[in-house]
Amino acid sequence: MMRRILIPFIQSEDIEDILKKIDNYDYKGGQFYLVRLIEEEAAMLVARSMGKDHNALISELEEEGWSALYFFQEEFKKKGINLRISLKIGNSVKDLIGAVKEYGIELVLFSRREADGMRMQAKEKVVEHLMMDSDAMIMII
Amino acid sequence: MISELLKRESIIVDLKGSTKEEVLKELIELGGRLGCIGDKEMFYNKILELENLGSSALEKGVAIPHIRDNFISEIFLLFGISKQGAQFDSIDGQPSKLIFFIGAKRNDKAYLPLLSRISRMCSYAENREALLAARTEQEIIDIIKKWEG
Repeated sequence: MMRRILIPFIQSEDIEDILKKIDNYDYKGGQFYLVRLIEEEAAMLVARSMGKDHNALISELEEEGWSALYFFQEEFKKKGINLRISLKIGNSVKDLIGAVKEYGIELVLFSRREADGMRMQAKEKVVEHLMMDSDAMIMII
Repeated sequence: MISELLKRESIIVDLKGSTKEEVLKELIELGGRLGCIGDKEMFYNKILELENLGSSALEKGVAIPHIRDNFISEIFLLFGISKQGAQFDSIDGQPSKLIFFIGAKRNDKAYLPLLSRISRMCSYAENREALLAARTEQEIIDIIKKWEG
């Protein structure tokens, strides 16, 4: 039984998907960490393409991210799951590897949810870096 | 939005408690005096139950105990500063010094935006430092108003 489990996410749909499947796994006694990652570089590109101020977009993403974290924390609590939340802005790969080390994570959970090509590529990149730079196990459910 | 809800009388500049339980009781006492918390013991038990299912502490000395349930008639926000800090079992192990306490009705639309706004405000070191250095209730309100623009 893994004691420290981290679930990173960029899109809320990934957590909705994990929430649906989590009952199939023995999570009792585990400490979950839900981490919302905001990729600063991607936000800059999006802001530029939308003609929006970069800082204003980051603020929006932060508030949306925290709202999602608190919403899902409640949903996990309803299942009796102990969950802590965090939001990181910067480089998603570095932030995720940093969180895995800082929190002593044993298992990182990703959603298998189908996404567009770009998102899947990003997920693959993150998994590849995690495999190289951390000792945590990785599970895609 | 934080400054719309937070009143001078909803603030304790110097929390006396040194544990999570003591700090929660102080804030619940205040809520009781202000009339936003009815049954204090039931409220305390509920909030502690939620804390045990997942700490409300964020990183860097901030905790936001929060509850939404239909026994709460109207959204409220209380705030306290603990100079020595109280252990809320945070992710980074730091004791919590800035403690925001939120209660709301189950379907209150302002609840999640308020939680996220406070979390974002406290993610900036300059805001945390300014709040910690504040000596009066009015200073705290001014700091928040300034940040919210």
